[in-house]
Amino acid sequence: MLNVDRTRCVGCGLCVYFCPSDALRAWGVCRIVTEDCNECLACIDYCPADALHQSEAGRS
Amino acid sequence: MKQDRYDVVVVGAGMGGLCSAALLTHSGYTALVVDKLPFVGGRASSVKYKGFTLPTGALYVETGGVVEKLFKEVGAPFAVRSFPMQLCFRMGGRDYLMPQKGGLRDLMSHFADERETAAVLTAIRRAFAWQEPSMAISLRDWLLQHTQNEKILAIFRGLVNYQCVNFRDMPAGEFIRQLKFATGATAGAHPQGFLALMQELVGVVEAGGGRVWTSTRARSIVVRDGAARGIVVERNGKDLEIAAGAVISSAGPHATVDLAGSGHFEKGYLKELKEKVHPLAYVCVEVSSDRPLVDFPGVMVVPEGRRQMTMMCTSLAYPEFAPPGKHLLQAWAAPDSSFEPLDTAAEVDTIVGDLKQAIPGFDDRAEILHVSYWQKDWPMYRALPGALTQKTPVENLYNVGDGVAPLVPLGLPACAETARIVVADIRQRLKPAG
Ligand SMILES: Cc1cc2nc3c(=O)[nH]c(=O)nc-3n(C[C@H](O)[C@H](O)[C@H](O)COP(=O)(O)OP(=O)(O)OC[C@H]3O[C@@H](n4cnc5c(N)ncnc54)[C@H](O)[C@@H]3O)c2cc1C
Ligand code: SF4
Ligand code: SF4
Repeated sequence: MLNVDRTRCVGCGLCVYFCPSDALRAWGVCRIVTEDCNECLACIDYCPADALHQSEAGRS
Repeated sequence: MKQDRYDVVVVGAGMGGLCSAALLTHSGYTALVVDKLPFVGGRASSVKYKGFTLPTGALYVETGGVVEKLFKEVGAPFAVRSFPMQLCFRMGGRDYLMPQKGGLRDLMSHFADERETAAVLTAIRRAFAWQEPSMAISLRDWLLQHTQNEKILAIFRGLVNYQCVNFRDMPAGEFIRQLKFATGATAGAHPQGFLALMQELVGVVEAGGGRVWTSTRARSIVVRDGAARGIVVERNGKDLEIAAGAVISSAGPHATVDLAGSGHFEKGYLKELKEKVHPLAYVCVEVSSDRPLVDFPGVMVVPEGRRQMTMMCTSLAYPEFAPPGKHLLQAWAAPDSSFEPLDTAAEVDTIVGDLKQAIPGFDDRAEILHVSYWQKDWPMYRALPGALTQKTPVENLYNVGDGVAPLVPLGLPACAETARIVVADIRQRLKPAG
């Protein structure tokens, strides 16, 4: 499961551009639309703040 | 661990890092640039999104200035197209075009009598010709010594927004300096977006025998006997040590210290870093519509909202940035503070609320494409100019970029200037290994 570390996320929205499933929303901070995320993990590398992580459980 | 060697290794492929590497390779040095992101340009790049070309940060670059000069010097094409630099102020529901000559006087005269206007203009003239105001006072507090007129204060709030700094965060001295630079300056964008412009610098680096590695993170800067010796990077899941005669970092002065280890830096430097290098925050809202949301092709200043805002229907000057039949409006605004903790989602609500007020019928005509909030480690600017020098206390370790901006125009020109300063120093101290 993909997670946003809200203490790190700056809200820049870079990740939004690179999600092929339109599963990310940035509005001051990033939110994952969990039901749309196919866990391809493409977004992780595009986060300049290292705020996106894969975890076993837990929702953002 | 596998080892590699270059004359100079550069952390970060943004404007600061790529300008440094281009100048170096152009002068015969071998250089490697690494960036942790999968694309070059950092906060001056662009992406394709839903048919639009959107920036990852910078919207425009000054033309005819430091950046263009550097591109010319290294032989990189600079295909930036300028747009009309006229400002239009939307105040109290009316639009006021700011004439290019005598614009400030003209604008103020709509809201103040001659005596009040003259008091402010005299103070500015004196600041230009005699002495810049102190950096210790904000522009707002400096102006309050000369006027209490809310409309005049709003005009300046709008002008500061054009520099992408919060009215309360802008030191009076810095504003006057920026106003001097702004006089006569033009700006523009690359019609294919900033990424295309930055790739021109990559081309220069590679043609000069250098390398640019994206998706490659610098894990540490290697320091031995008080001098920088190279970096360790993570590339394709493996650690790799790159030895170098000098290390240039554009990751920001705080990150540079973290990468090298704070134990290698003098206490005085660390104190200055803590006290002076504070990132400035900003918000950008990108909006799509079928018809232009504003008819004016230049920059529209909206200074009287809850947050200071500037907007531009970018697709009027750059139709290439929007898909056929669509228009792109970009609004940029300063959050309430860069330094105090804020509810960032609520800040965006406020800014979008202001935007809806500024554009009649917004909800029926427009769709918000994207919102970006710039702050902390990924800010608008890493510091105000003059905060720190480019050299660090660690020998052969330099910073470039907007965290160590000298006193030139903010943003990209400052990045190019830091590259020029650092490369000039390297050329004096280090011979290319060839
Ligand atoms: C919204 C916005 C609008 C702006 N508008 C303008 C404008 O119109 N005109 C203007 O002149 N300026 C503007 N600016 C400012 C300008 O974009 C910046 O000043 C400039 O891009 C900063 O360049 P830089 O090289 O200092 O840093 P960056 O672009 O941040 O480059 C640093 C690079 O280092 C990389 N990095 C960091 N850590 C590591 C590591 N450990 N390993 C490898 N790589 C690493 C990062 O990924 C990044 O790519 C704007 C900025 C923003 C945010
Ligand atoms: S993991 Fe893939 S689908 Fe999920 S948010 Fe990231 S990019 Fe989108
Ligand atoms: S890219 Fe990272 S910092 Fe930016 S909005 Fe996405 S999660 Fe937050």
